[in-house]
Amino acid sequence: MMEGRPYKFRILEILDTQGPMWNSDIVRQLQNEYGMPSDYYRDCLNFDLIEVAASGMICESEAMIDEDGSFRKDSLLLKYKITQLGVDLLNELRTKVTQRKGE
Amino acid sequence: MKKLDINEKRTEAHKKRVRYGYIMALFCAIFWGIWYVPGTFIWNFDVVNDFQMLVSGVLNPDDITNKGFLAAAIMITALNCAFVMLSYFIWNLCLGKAKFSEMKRSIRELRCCTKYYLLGAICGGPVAILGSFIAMGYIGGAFAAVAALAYPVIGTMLSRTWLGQKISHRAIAGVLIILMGSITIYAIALFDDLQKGTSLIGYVGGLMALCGWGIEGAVAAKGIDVSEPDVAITMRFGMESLIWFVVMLPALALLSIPVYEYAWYMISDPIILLTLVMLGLTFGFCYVAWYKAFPLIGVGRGQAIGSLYGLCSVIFLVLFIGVADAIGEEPARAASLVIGAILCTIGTVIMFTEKTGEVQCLRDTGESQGEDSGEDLP
Repeated sequence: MMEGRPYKFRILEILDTQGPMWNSDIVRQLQNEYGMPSDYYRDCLNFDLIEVAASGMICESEAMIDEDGSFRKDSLLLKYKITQLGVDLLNELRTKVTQRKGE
Repeated sequence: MKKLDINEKRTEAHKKRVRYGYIMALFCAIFWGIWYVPGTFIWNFDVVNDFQMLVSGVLNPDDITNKGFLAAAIMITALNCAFVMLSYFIWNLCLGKAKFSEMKRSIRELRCCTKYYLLGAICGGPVAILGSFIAMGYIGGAFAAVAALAYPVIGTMLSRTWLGQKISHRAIAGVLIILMGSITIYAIALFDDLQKGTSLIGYVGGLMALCGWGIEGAVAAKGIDVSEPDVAITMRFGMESLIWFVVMLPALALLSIPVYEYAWYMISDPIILLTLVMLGLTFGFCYVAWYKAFPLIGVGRGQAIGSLYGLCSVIFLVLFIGVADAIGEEPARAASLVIGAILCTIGTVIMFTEKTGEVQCLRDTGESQGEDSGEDLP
């Protein structure tokens, strides 16, 4: 439902429907969906995740270091899960989003 | 050993995020402070004076009426908004075309995003920025700047009650000291002018700025919860442009006020144009930094650090237009300004030195942050 809508809407939906995920996987999925393949956009989308986590809608559940460089060599990888606040916000968004053809 | 490395990296990542938020708020304060210099200069151009006299129907600048003054304030605020939009266009071009696509996606979501941008534009534009220009024109840049310093009090209260953001005792102490500083500045100048019988419209302008910016911060934070700060700020100023260019300026034109002609005179003069470009750049980037700080450190902290603009503006105004023109020659007034500015700075420093852990998550989520949490994680 949130595909093609603002990034933060989609971040909440991905974590709600697919369960806890590593930031590298969420960012990769968003890059594919929104057609933003560059490293610059990878970092921009990762920063969106950081903002959503700071706001309390998602939270970190695990951490590890990216030793094989699949995301960014030696950087911190974080596993995020959606919080109850995030679920509430997502449910509110689902009722308020502008309907598209076929929805 | 590896576990410790992860914990250290995690703590460092949180500190980095909070530091970035504080740096953004500090940038906001510096750009905002500089904005009062061209904001004060713009009132001294002959074309603005002529416009006020024409609208007031007088030949002597000393006889300018509130109507002439308000019309000029509206024209200047509209031009300020247009040049801010120009700076955002350049800014977003630099950030990449994906920002424009995200803007399209966000603006379509009327009930989730756009209503917050519109509300932010109303609180920020016709209330806060217009109020600030009124205070600048009537009482002077330094007063206009410090008059709105207490806006974090409103922002902090709203972020706690409406947004549910956490506020520590330390943050509350900081906000209260900033409030005391603002009252020191405001009360003495107001008492002085009441005794002299000076018009209070400048103080009303200061109050408009204070309430407008305080509410706008909370509204903006609500919008940024679901959209990107760069997108939110561009949309917010886009909405404000509509208010000025579709509603306010045509309304003035309908009252037979030659606002478009005088706006054109201003843009055609290279020096005034340069002043307007300075207004647009300084205010545009102060707002970008303001909006970027909110999702990282919260509305209360972002606004409190941002309120250092009061001190920055006094410094820049003294540097560019001199002590007498910036603050005035009356010792009591100058002393209250200095004491107030010192109190505001102390309040800001108290908030700035808050533990990183307090700011890690802006709301109580009731969730554990994982077993690898560093010691400053809640």
